[in-house]
Parts: sequence; C-alpha cells; structure tokens
Amino acid sequence: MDKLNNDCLLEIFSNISFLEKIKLELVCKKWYAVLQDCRAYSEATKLDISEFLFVTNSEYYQQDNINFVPLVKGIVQRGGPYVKEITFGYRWLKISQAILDHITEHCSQLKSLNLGCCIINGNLSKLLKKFAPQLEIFTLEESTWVNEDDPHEVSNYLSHFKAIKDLNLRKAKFNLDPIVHLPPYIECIDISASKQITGNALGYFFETHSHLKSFHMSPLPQSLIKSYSYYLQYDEDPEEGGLQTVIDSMKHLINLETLELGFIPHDAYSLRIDPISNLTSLKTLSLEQRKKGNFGSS
Amino acid sequence: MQPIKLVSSDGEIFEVDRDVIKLSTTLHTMFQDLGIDEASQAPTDPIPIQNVNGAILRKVIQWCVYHRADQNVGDENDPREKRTDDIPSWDVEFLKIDQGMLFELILAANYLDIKGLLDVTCKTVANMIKGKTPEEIRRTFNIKNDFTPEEEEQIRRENAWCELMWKVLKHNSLK
Repeated sequence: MDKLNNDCLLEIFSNISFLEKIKLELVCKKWYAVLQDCRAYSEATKLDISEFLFVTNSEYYQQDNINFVPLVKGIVQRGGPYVKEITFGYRWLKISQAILDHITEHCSQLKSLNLGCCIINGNLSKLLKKFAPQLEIFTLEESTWVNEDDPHEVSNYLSHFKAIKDLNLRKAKFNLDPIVHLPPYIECIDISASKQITGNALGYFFETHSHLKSFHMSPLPQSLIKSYSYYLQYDEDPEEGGLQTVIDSMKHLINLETLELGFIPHDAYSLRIDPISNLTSLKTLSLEQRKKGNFGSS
Repeated sequence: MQPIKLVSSDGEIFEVDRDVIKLSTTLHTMFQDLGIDEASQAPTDPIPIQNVNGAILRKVIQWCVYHRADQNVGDENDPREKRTDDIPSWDVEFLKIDQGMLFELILAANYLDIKGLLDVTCKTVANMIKGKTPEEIRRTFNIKNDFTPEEEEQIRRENAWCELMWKVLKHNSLK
C-alpha cells in the first residue's frame, strides 16, 4: 500500500461513496493528504443537501439550535469546483448566512442553485454578486425570509444574470420590474403569486424576450390583480400598465410552448385574451379561472 | 503480423500480439508516435518496460490476452458513484493474489495505462476498504497511524457532522 502513488489512491477512492471517503481521512497522513486534493471528490457535481440529512421531519431543521453549517461546509469545500448544481431538496430547511457564504466561497463553477422551499435567514447579495453572471438555473420558489428586508436585495441583482435559462421566482416578495434586464435568450420564468410587477414592465419583457418557451403566472402577481380591479372600476388601464397590456404583449412570444395563467376572473368579459390564440408554438396552455366574486376582493 | 517483444525491468522477455498490446494506451501511443503500425515490420529489439518486473508483466499480459476482444463499455464521464460489485468472475479469480502483487498490478496498470485492468484492481481494493473503520483499514493494509492523538482529535472534530450518517450507513448496510 505504501508504494501506491497519489493517482492510484485517487483511482481506488473514486469507487467509494462521498461520505465513506471522508472517513478515510482518519487512516493516515498520506490518505488525508490525497483526500484534500480537490479531484478526490470530483463525483460531487450535483449536490442535494437534503440527502445528507437523516432526520426526515422537516420541522426538526427549522429549530434555531439545529445547525447544519458544518455539514454544508464539509460537503461544499470537498466538492469545490466540481459542484455544478446545489439543491436543498424542497425540505423547508433553514439556510443561514454562513451556509450561503460557504457556497459562495467554494463552488466556483456553480450553474444551478435551487433555494426552493427554504427558510432563508440571510442576505443573498454576496452570493448573487458572484454567481448571477454564471447561473443557468436559479430557483427561489416559495422560499420565505426571516428578515423581510433581505428579499429586496434579489431585485437589485436581476440585471446581473447573464447566462440564466430558467428562473423561478414563485411567490417573490420583491419588485420584479428589473426582469426586463434578464438576458434575451432566457427560456423559462415563473413569477406566479409574486407581489410586485407592473404591466408595462412585463409587457416590455415579453417584447424583448421572444426566446421564452415557458411562462408561468398562476396565480397572477398581486400588483396585476390590483391594477385589474382599478380597470374594472374606472374602465381604463392604470398608468403603469395592467393585465390587458400584459396579455396584448404576449403576441411577441412566438416561441412560447407552455403558458400557465391564472386566475383569470370568471366575469372578465372585458379582458381580451385572444392574443394568446396567435401563439403558434404553444403546446400546453393552462388558464385557471377564479371563482365568481372572489376576484379583486383582495 | 509479427508479435512484439517486451522486456521487463529484470530482463525477462515476452512476445505479445499487437492487438493485446493495444490495451495499453501508453504502448499504443508510443507505437503510433514511432510510426509503427500494423502493416510495418515489428521492431527487432525488445521494448523495455522499465517499471514492471517479470512476474507482474506476465500477470498483466495474461489479463490483456483474456480481455483482448473486449468492447469498450461504460461512460467514463458518468458522475454517479461507481459500482464495485460488477467485477467479472474471471477477473475475481485472476485477482486472488496477495496484496503486494495486487498493488504492483495497480501501479503497472497505471503506468501502462490499461484502463480496464486499473479499474478492476482498484475496485478490488475499494471492496477491501468499504464498510471498515479507519482502524480496521489500517490493520487490513498494515498501515501505520502516523497522526498524533491531537491531530486525530482535530480531524474527528471537523468531521463530527458525519458521525451520525456513518452510523446510519453502517446500520443500513447490516440490514
């Protein structure tokens, strides 16, 4: 065994699972040194942090005294530059600033980050400053925030995404108008149940992002529901554009294959949705209808 | 097509068919660089394999002869964890050798760049490692623990987050 060089040891270790490999660091100094070589964990390209958590009850991980920073640190510092994708497995894990910082520090080649269904107790500025230009997939789906100022930082970094293909901002609580700055070849975006976007911004986004293949807005963003109520009341679109502006602008989405739109008011005779019929690439269309009387009451 | 002569580090000469030699990327590339192809005359002088002794080279050639017609299978870039329970039964028998020789074979396979042989030999060693504690691993391979107690404690502390998972993994593997 002494004769084996580092390459041979790495080749042997490549047959052993991530966690068991960490145990081998304790065998002797030579093995420890070989396992510090970043190639030792080169299989760790797709990390699902939740797979490393052996307590199945999600609430367990929301307790403030449960700290899995050492775990995330231990994983990402070993995977390092090989890590291309990170997800937390939609487990409502509480993600602290330290966890975000370790990911920022170690995963230089990250292409896909999924913070869906996380409780984020930190600020994403540093992380997005580094990763926004390179991320192809980014998900904040339904994630909640401990500090209500933190989500707004994300808004400032929307213009930094340069390679993004798939962006999921479902239930985003921050201003989404800056999505107009997203790169023109983005293919998929979800802004369902988000809080704030103007009809004009979204309309302009459609006009300038005709590569879009998939668009999800169900339920509608709260600001569009509000402006539609305004429209129903005064019979004119608000200055910042309303739902009709959005739907009219959909005519630019010539590559759109999937459209999910809801909840369109049950009694919305005045809303013209015929521009959708011109979307010739469309394969899946979902138009949710809100039950009578509910629309605009919120 | 004439066979090619190889000579081991301790002077033993072996005659090997060219399609067998091809399994060694190192030798195959060397021949290509020298402009020796299948149509040309075999070099008259034996080719020295400096890092491999006769006993090991015989073993290596034996493996290559058996696997000369193998098709290349498997995706090298498959990022998933590799399986180690798929060693062909002929290879399992072939590798029932002492540890010293097994490690020599790994070194020779690495030096001669024989992917398939490196793969099965390393998997065989990996199977001897899997499921063991560090102490059991040291005993298996006669490795000296050269950490000071403080250093060992330090690593244990850093990796404490794994302890629970190791226990669960061990528990699951015993089921």
